[in-house]
Amino acid sequence: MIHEGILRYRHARYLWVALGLLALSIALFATQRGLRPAGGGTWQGYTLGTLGALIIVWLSWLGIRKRRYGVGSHDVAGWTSAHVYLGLVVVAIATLHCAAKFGWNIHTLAYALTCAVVLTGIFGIYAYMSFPGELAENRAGGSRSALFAELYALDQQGREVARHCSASIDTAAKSAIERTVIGGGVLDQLLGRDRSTVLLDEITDASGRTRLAANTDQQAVIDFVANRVARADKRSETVNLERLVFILCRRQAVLRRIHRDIRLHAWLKAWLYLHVPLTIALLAALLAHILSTFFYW
Amino acid sequence: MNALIRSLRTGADGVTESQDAEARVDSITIGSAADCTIQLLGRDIAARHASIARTGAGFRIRCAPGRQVRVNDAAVAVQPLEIGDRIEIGGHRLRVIAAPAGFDFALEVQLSGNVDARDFERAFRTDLDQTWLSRRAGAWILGVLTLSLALIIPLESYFIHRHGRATPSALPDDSWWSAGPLIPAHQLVIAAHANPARHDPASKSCNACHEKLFIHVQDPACKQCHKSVMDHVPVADLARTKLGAAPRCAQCHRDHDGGASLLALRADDSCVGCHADRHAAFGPLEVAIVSGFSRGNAHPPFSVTLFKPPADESPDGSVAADQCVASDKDLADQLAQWLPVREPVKQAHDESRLKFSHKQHLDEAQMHARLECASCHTPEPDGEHFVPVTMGRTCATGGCHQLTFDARAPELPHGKPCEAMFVIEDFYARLVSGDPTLRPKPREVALRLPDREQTQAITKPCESPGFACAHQRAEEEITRQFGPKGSGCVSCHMVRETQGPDIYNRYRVMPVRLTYDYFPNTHFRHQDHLVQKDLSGQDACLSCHPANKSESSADVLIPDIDKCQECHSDRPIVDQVAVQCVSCHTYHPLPIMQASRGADAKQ
Repeated sequence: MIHEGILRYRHARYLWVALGLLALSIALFATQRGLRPAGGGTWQGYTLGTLGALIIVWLSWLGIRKRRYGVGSHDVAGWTSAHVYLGLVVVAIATLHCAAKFGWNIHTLAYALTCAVVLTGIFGIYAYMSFPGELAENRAGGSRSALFAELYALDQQGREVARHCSASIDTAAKSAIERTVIGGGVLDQLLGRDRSTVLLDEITDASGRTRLAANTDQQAVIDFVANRVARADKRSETVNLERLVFILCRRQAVLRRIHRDIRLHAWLKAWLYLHVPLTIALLAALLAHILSTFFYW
Repeated sequence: MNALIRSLRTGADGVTESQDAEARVDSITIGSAADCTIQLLGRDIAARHASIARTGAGFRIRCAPGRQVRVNDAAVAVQPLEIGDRIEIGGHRLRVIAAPAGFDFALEVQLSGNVDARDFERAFRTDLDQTWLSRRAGAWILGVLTLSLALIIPLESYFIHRHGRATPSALPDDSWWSAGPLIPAHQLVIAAHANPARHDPASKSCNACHEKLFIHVQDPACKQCHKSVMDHVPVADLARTKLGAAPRCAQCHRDHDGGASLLALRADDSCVGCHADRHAAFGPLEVAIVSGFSRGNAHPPFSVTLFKPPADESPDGSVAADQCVASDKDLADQLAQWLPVREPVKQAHDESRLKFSHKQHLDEAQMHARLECASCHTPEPDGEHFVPVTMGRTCATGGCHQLTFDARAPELPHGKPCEAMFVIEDFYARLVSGDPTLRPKPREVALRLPDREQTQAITKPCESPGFACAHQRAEEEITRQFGPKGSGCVSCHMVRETQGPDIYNRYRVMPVRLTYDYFPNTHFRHQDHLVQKDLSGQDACLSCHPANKSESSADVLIPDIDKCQECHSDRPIVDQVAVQCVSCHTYHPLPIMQASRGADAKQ
C-alpha cells in the first residue's frame, strides 16, 4: 500500500531535504540585518519568497503527477513523501519570507491559504495513516462489493421468508429491506447517519394509518419480528419468524460494516475536497501576490 | 394524491402474488433511492429517475433531466398517462390500472429479475463524489473568486483611479495589495487622491504615490508634498562627482509598516556604503572617509562651527560712527555678518568677545555660594540645546550682577553704552544740584561683582564749580566703567578706546555673539546624557565639559570623539551603548531649523 511507507520512504530522504531547506532558510533570514528590517522586501525576503513559490508550484504539480498511475508505485510513494515533507516546510519558509508580518491584504491571504492547504494536508496524512487499516479490518479481507452482494442475497432471502409470514410481518420486513438507507448526502456519509425506516402496523398516526417509523441500525424491525416469535401460534410460523430474525440480524451486522466502510472512506477522501480547491485558490492568490508586488514595488 | 401501488412478484415456487400498498403522496417518485415511492434498482436507473403527478384531470410521468422511460414501447421524457399504459424502466415493468374506489391512481409494478448485487450497490450514494461535493467545481469557484478579488478587480480599480474616478467602496481596490498600513499622514494623501472632492477616509488610491505599474515610486510623487526637503548633496556639487544620480527617496524611506520603522532606513550601511569606500568618486568634494564610529574605524575628529566676526569689520567693532544713534537692528545686522567657521575641537578658539571664567564661577570659595551648571544653563524643550545666556536672563538673575556704580544711582542699562553714559552724567548733575530724592538703596544680595561701593571714594578732589565738577565726576566714572583699567562694563566686555574727544564715542563696546549650537548639522540630546554610567547631575556635565578648569571664554569646552567613544560604539558590545550614523547626523540639511537657531543665537 502506498500509505504505509510515505513518511519513511528511502530512510525519510525527503525529510532531510526539507530540514536542509529549512536550515538554509533560517540562515538566510538571519542575515537580514543592517540595511532594512526583515521582511519580504529584502533580497533575502525575495529569495525566500521565490523558494516558497517554487515549492508550492512544484507540490501542486506533484499532486497531479502522483495521481498518474502510469508511474510505478515506488515513484508514487516517493512523490508523496516529497509532497508531505516539502509541504510542511513551506509554511516555515513562508513565515520567514514575511517575517511574521500580517495584515488585511492579499499577501496575508496567500499566507493563510498556504496554512489552510497544509493543515488539510496534515489531516490527509493522518487519514492515510490511520483509516486504511481500519477499513481493511472492517472489511475483514473482503471488499465493499462483497458486503453489498452479501446484503443483496440476505435481502432476497428475507423477502422470500417474509412472504410466508403474516401480512403484518411481511409488510414490516419488506418495508425494512426496501427502506434501508445506505450512505446518502455528505453529512450522512461523514457522520454515518442511518435514515432507514420501516412500516410497522403497531405504529400508526392519529387517523389510524400505519406510518413510517425510524429503523436505525435495523433494530426496530428486529425487535418487532422477535416479539412476534413468542406469540406465534403455529410451529411453522415460529420457524419462519426465527429464520427471519436470523436473516435480519445478519443484515444488521453486514449493514454496520457497510455503514462504517462508507464513513471511513468518506473521511479518507473528505480532506481532498478542501485541499484541492484551496490549492487552486492558493495558486491564484500567489499569482496575485507576486504580480501585485511588482505592480507597486 | 392517494395512490394504490400493486406489487406483483413471483416466488421461488413460480406462483405470482400481488401485494397492495397505499401511498398518500403529492407525486409518485420512481428511482433507485430508498426513499422513492417505488424503488427500482438497475444500471440505468437514477436515484430519482421519474415521477408521476396529477395534471388537471389526468396524470403525467415526467423524467429527471437527461433520463427517459419507455411508455408503450416509445422512449419519452414526459408523457400523459392513460389507463392501460405500459411503462418500462430499466427492465422493470409498470402498468397504469383503473383506480379502485377511494384511490386517485393505481399502478401495477412488476420488478425485473435481472437485477444483481452491483445494481443494488449502485442504488446507494456511497462515495462523496456522488454528492454535491466536487473538487473540480470547488477549485473553479475558489480559484476564480480569489483571482477576481485579489487581482482582477483591484487591477481594474487602478485604471479607474488613473482616470480620476472613484471605485465603489464595496468592491476591493488596489489597496488590497498594500503590504501594510501607511502612516496616518500618508493615509490622508491616498484618501484625498482617491476622492478629491470629498476626503473620504475609506477611499484609497495607491496612484497617489505608485503612479505607474511596474515602476518604483518616483521622487516627484514625494516632492508634491515634501517640497522643502533639501538634497543631501546639492545637485551642482553632485554633478562634479562620479557618484551618479542621487538615490530615490523611496530607497531609504519606506512606508507600509504603519511607521514601525520610523519611515527611514536607519542602518549605518546606507551611509557607510558611500562614505567608507567610494572616496575616489567624490571628485573635488572634500569628504572625510567614515567607516564607523567605534574605535578602530575611520571617523574624523569633531569640528565645531563657530561664528567669527568678518575680516572687514571696523577696527573698533562699532555698529555706527555715533554709537548713540545705533539701533537694535543695527546690532542684529552686524552680528548677522559674522561667518560660521568650522574648526577642529582641539584647535578651536571661541571669539565671542565675552570675558568670562567658568572656573571662577564654579569656585564655591570665591563665589561664597555654590553655583552649578544648571544655575545658568537652562535646557531647551528639545532636550538638545540650552536657552541662550544673556545678561538679563542669566547674569542679572537673582541680583548676581547689577549694573550699579553708586548706591544712590539708578542701574545702568545693559547693551546700550551711550545711554549708560547719559545715566552717569545725569546722576552726578543731580548730585551736585543737591537732589533730595537721591537716597542710598539697600543692597539686595551679597553676591555682586564688581562690588565697588566700598571703594567708591573719589580719588581726585573736585575743585571745579557746580556742573563742571559733575561733568568731571561723570567722566571719571565713564572711564572707570569702560576704560582699559576700569572695573565696570569692561570687566566682561572688550572695549576699544578711540582716543576721540567725544566722551560718548571714546569707548566702543565690542558686540558679543555666543555660540548657540556648535554642531548645527548633528543631533545631540543633552537630556539623554544627564546620567552617564555612575555619573549624574553636575558630575555628568563636567565629565564632558571641563568648565571648572576653564578660565577663558575662548576655551571651547566641547569634547572630541574619543570622549564619546568611551561609552559608545557602532555595534552592540559589552559596556557600550550602540549608536548609528543617524543617531547624530542628518541626511537632509535642515534649513528651517538652522534659521531658527541662528535667530536665537543673536539674542
